[in-house]
Order: sequence, then C-alpha cells, then structure tokens
Amino acid sequence: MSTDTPRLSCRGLSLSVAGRILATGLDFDVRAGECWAIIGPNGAGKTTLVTALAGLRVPASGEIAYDGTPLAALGPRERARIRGFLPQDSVDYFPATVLETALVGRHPHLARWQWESAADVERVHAALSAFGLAGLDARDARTLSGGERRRLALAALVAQDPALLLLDEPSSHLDLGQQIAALDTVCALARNDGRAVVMVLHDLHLALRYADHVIALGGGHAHAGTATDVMSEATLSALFGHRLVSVGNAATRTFLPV
Amino acid sequence: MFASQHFVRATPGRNVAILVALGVAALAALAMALTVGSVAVDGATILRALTRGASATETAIVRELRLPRALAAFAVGGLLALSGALMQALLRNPLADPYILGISGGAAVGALGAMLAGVTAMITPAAFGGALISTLLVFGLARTGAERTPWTTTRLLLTGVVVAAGWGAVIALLLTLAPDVQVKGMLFWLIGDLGGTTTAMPALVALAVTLAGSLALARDLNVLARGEDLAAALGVAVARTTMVLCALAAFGTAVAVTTAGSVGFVGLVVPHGLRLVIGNDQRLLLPASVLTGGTLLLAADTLARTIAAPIQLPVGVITALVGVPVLLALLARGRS
Repeated sequence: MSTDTPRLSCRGLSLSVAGRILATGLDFDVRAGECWAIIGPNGAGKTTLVTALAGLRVPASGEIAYDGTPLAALGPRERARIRGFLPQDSVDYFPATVLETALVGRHPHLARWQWESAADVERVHAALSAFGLAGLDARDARTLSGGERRRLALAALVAQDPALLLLDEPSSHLDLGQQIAALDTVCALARNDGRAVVMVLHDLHLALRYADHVIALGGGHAHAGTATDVMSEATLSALFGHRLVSVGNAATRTFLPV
Repeated sequence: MFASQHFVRATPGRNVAILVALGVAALAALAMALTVGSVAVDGATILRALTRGASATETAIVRELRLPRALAAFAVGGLLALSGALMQALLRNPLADPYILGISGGAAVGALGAMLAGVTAMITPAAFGGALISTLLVFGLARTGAERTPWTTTRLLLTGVVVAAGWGAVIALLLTLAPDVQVKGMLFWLIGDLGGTTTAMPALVALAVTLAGSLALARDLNVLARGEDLAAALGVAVARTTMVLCALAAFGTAVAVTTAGSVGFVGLVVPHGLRLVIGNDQRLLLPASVLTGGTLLLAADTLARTIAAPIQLPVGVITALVGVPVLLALLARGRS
C-alpha cells in the first residue's frame, strides 16, 4: 500500500433503512492521521452509516475499501484486524472481570487454539491505563459505573489495535472531563500513530474540538467535507432545522440554538 | 453479589488444575457406582473383573450391568451439561437449558408413540427422530418470517418454548390414551431413567464429538456471549458459528434424551453453578461442565438404584430433587 492510500474510502455510498433513504452517492476518503465526526439530528442515520463503514451492515449501494482493499475481499476476521468498532451500547450478559472484558479485543489476533499471551495482557493493561482504569483488573465489569464501562469498551477497542477506529457516540455516559480525556486519547491515536478515526458525535462542541473533517447527515442527504467547510451557521441551521449561532472563541467555540 | 466474585483469569495452567480435580471426582463416582448395588463388589474384584479374572457372576455384574450403565450415566450427564452451557452462552441467557429447542418434547412424543404402538425396538430410533424433527421445526419456524432475516436468539427461544408447549399437549394426549399397564414405563421415560441401558458407546462417542467441536469454537463463543454485534465487530462469523454450535448442542441433547429419557435440571444447573464459581471462559466452562454434569448424573444414578432398593427410582427424580433447591439458592443469591 502506498503511503497516500486512504485508510477508508467510500464511493457512491447509499444507505436506506426500511425503505427510507438516508444518504445517496456519498464519496469520501479518510486518510491516516485524520479524525472525522459524523453529526446530524436524531434518526438521520448516523449509526447506520458508521455500522455500514464497519462492514456490519450492507449498504443499499456503493463501495467501501480499507487501505485500498474492497470490503467484499476481506473476511470478518481480516476486517477485525484492520478496523475496530465501538457500538453505541454494550450489555453484560454474564459476569466477567475488567481484564477479561478488555482481553476480548485481542480475539481477532489469536489463532484458533492460541491463548492470550503475556504480551496481550501487557497491551490490555496499557489500554486500561490510558482510559484511567489501571488497577481494576479483577473487578466484575458489571459493578462499574456507566462512565467506567464506556471507558472499558474504549480500552478493549484500543487493545484490538486497529488502524481504523469507528466509534458510535464514544462520549456517551461520560462526564465533561472524561469526554475530553477519552477523546484526547482516541484522537492522539490518529494524529501521532498513523491511524484514522471516524466517530458519531452528538455534541457539536466536541465535533468542533476534535474533528478535522465532518460528515453531516440529515433529511436524506449527506455532505462530507472539512470541518471548517461543514461547521458553519448556515449548514448546521439547515441540518438541525433550527437557527444556530456560533459562540465562543477559538478554544471554546460551539453552536447554540437561538 | 457481583463484587464477591473475583475470578482469576482462565489460563491453561489453572484450567488443567481444575479439570484434573474434576476428573478425579468423576473417577471416584465411577468407582462408587461399580462397587455398590444388590451385590457388593470390592475394588480389587472390580479391577480383576475389568481385566478378565474374577468369577463369572462378578464379571457379568461389573462388565455387563454396572459399567455400561455407569458410563452411560456419565455420558448423558456430560452431554446435558455441555449442551446447557452452549445454549446459555448462545442465547445469552443463564436460564436457558438443553431442552430449549423443544428437543425433549419431540423425543418424548417419538418414544411414547413407539411404546403405545407396542414396538419396543422402535423406542430409541423414534425418540431420536422426534428430537431431530423438533430441532429442525424450531430452527425452520424461527427463520421464516416477514423479513426473512436469519433467526435471532429471542425468536429461537420463543419458538422453542411454543413448540415445547405443543409437544407437552401431545404427551398428555398419549398418556391419556395409553392403557394403565404402559403408563408407568412412559412416566419413567419422561422423568429420565437409565434402568434399561445396555450400551454406553453411542452416548460416549456423541460426547467426544460434541466436546471436541465446541472446544474448537470456545473462544468464538466467549465473544458471542458478549453480544452478536460485538462478536461480528471482532471478526466472528456470527451466523455460521451460532448455527454450528446450536447443531452440536441439539445433537448432544438428542443423544442424551434417547439414551436416558428427559433427565431434568443437569443441563440447567451445572453450567449455571459452575459459571458462578470458575467464571465464564468457555474454554474452561465447557470441559468442566462435561466432567461435573457426568459426575453428578453418575452419582445420582447410583443413588437412584440403591436408596430404595430393591425399588429402582428414575434418576430424573433425584436430579430434580437436588436441582430444584440448588437452582432456587442460585437465583436467590443472584438477587441479593
């Protein structure tokens, strides 16, 4: 793969759910080092888009490729070694420790009869520390708070070591300080480590703060572009169906409804 | 409840230690089963009988009566516990049991039908056929639908429950129609009984096949037990893996039911209880369930044929009498 091959590329992507068209003819490339946000009102299809990008949902039409290889040419295990996906919610059906839960991220890297090695455990420990969960190894994951569980899911994703991180509302359940800490960690992976991040974000101030590119979804249309291009009063007001104004300075900028 | 459960992470070394301990318990139960009965046979005689050397009577008692029955009890208990563990993980429901696909009901209708028709030779094939038909019926019904999507676990569970209720009605009908002399045999079959066992081979072979197949997919099952979306994201071929593991569980259950009738509670209680003690890593839980389920049913069957001797109780009575309070205790523990 040449250095300028996009981590993720989309050509003519169209999405529909139960006959309702969410997006048509969407083209974009996500390159190493980039951090993308998917924004839009409720029901616009943000989750549908990110699950389609993860290869977990077949789009109505269009081509998706990871590092230049079409998704159709990659099996589920190969995909899981390239991209990681953080679902909106996780449910714990059975008791499991924090360490066991995060170790699941190593699954795609292990052969059928292989056990997690000391190196795998070390990688998981590093990921747990990165999200402030060091020392909680033996805790039952079901006794954690909502925010801790969200960070545990993020740690499992990072332990998976994907080049492309697809996240559905990574900041949900997190308080303001934790949102910043978690997204700092995630976006540092893209900017310093040659990975790429695409995340659904609900809060416009987080999109402004972290995303260099934005996909705006709403009313059956999708528009992909640079953050400066998409994050404008006019575009966002049309997207959310309510007049929004930009407030704050460069560091704390956000949009508020009038 | 959860805070008190600090499992050590499953590692190959820890697993071997636990499985060796359970294996020793299984051998002890086997020794006990060969020793006690209407004729007491001591350990030295058993060893000689197994290696051809004791008197003809003792050889016959050990080799032709007690050993096949003991091995069959172990295999049936192992199959039920293994199938229960698989179904609980696949349906992500700790209260799922091996009969959830209506297997025992289908097998019972086949077996009782053969008894009613008076063709004793057909009881086993009819039971196996009934189990197979019920499994295919549940999978087939759960799969068709407006959206024609692959079946979901909820739909599978609901379809299984409904089909099982249907079989229940047919069983009640057969019992009502049966002449009085046959009803006792039918009831024994329904409760689960190893009295008629002549060979343990089919059940032992089925146990080996089911265990080997499910161990190969054990880590995939670990991920699947955390949800299908997460499993798919982590590279598990969800539909194929679920289908293969369900088929293994259905096969194991069908063989168990065909061998011993519908023995209750082993498949429900053993994996559930073990999970609370050793954790939910399927690479340990599956073989540990086999050993524990096998040992329990073997011990229960030994009890069933000696406790009220010369009357032999159906083993299902013992497993239910032990299983009900154990399950209630586990549930109460889960609420606190």
